[in-house]
Amino acid sequence: MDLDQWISKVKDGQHLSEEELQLLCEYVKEILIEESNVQPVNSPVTVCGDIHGQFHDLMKLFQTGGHVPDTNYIFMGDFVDRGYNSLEVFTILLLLKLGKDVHPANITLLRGNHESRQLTQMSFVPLGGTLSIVLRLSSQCMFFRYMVSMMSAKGSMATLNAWRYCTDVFDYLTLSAIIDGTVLCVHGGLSPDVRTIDQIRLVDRNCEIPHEGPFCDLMWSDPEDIETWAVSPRGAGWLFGSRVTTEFNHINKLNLVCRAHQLVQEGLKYMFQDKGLVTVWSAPNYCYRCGNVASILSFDENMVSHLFKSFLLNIERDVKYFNETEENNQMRGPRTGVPYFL
Amino acid sequence: MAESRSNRAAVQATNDDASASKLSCVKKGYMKDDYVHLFVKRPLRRSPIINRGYFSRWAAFRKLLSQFLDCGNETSHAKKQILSLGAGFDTTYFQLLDEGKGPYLYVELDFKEVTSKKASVIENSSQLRDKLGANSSISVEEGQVLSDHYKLLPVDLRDIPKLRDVISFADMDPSLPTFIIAECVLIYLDPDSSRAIVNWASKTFSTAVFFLYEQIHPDDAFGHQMILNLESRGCALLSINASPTLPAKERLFLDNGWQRAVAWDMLKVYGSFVDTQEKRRIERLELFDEFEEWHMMQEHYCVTYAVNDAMGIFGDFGFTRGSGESMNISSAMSP
Repeated sequence: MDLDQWISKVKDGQHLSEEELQLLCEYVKEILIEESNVQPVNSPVTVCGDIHGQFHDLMKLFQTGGHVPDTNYIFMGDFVDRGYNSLEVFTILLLLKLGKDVHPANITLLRGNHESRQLTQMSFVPLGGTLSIVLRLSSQCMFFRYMVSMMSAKGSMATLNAWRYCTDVFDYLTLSAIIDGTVLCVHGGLSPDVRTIDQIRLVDRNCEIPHEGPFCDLMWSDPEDIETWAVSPRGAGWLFGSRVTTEFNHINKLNLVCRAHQLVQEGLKYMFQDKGLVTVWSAPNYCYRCGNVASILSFDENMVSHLFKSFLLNIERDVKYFNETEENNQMRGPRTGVPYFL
Repeated sequence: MAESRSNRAAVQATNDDASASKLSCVKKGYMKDDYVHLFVKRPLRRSPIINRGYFSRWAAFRKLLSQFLDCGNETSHAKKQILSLGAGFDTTYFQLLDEGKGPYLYVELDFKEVTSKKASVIENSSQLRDKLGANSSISVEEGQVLSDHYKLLPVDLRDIPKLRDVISFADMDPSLPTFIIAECVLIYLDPDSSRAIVNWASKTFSTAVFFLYEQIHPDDAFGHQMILNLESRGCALLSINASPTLPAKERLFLDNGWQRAVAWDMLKVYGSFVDTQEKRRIERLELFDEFEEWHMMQEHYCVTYAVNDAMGIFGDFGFTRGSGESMNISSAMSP
């Protein structure tokens, strides 16, 4: 297993072989299984939001924030789907997790609602003896391009296996991280079934995301300009408001809940009067359509000593913004395929 | 290069894209259309946001069309006409027949390249051909289908004199109530052409509704990307800067002879005009995880309708019919 060679391969736009991917996934699962549902992380660390298969923009993110292990990262899930390079994004993050000069603590990968079989599923339609793959989500499916490159070589079974290896890893990804005991990072948001962080620790995460309950809520909820709870239009998770967030932070001695899950045009958005929650979004010009800025949020070593939130000075945290890469901007191929109502 | 930004073939290809999208909706259960599949070679499944968006467009169109077809029936103005500009592979005529709502005359116009293909499909599909009736003739070469109540004719919409000719060739009666449709059609034409068509329509049809569905707001981040993306596929929105906002869409009609005009963006149309029961039904069809983009997309499209009412039958036609709300109408009388 030559990690450096694999990393170069993926950065050059090639996929790992089915066997290599299987090996990578097996090794990473062994690391992930050791992590807690609320994985403790020490500052300094940089927190990132959704990537959604935008591989070239992920490379730009590392240029902006620093490379692993010079910079430590927490990625808050939704690595796959929508963008054209889901498999490359997922693979490179797994390779970085496993890196030989890298300690697993240098990069923390949280699960997002898209790290789920339901959202990345393909359906198989037997067709007179031969299997033909019907892509359920067409270009959204993370394996669309992998299939195109592998089909000629090994055909449909290779793609099915690759999908299985990756979705099995999803079941091992942890649910949240806590920075210096004061900043909670989670993909979606809060749950009416989770009053204390200890309750997150009780969740059995080694499974597909359930349709309801605390595990589901942590992956799917959204903050809203209300006081407490409301039904979410997403059909999973909840809308939660200012009072609920303030209470949660108070009970758990947190300064901040850091989350992703919702596209913000400005890249970063604080919620509520007391700014007890922030949404970080790290996919610039999302889907080649939204024209948004992306951001990453860094916490330096000094945050530990800060008991008060100095939002105006921002001394303990630093936001970096970035736009899509020139490469992405110039890519004619993807631009011509962006869906609109015509 | 102006040619690569906007070329005829690419604009015509938007019809294929739209047809595939409509079929995607139909297969998922958003709406009923027994005929669109005849026009789509490679069925594709679209993302939920595209399905929901096409549904909202279809629902708004059908609801306004139904109002039109019901208007004035009590006063025996029952003979109605529908004129579809840039109709593409639209199947509304055949669906209306199945629903028992076939109008007196339905005329579809498009480039010859498109009407030829459509004529060919109609000729080769008995389910379509048989609905034309006894006195029908189909010419794939001419791109023409003629029958008692349905006519498909080729024309370049930018050529107003030819447009006039083709309307009289189709035996349209300009005095009859007429519903004119332009869904993502005028926006691809240069501003002078789109103005000329709106103007011609107003001068020609004295009791009419003009239904327009197209893009707005080219200037924000999303709009900017939309312009770039559509230009890169050769179907630039040539008219969008001439009417980039809702008031501007209304003015396009008011300044060109129409009596009143109302423009709502699709977010408002979906929220306040599409039937609640229908929305509840379709929202259950698929997992939908694209809310922020849904808002952005829908805010960049609008439905604008304009009304000429010589016969006085369109009194309560529109978005707020029956709602008791006072209509927010722009009219030729107010500043």
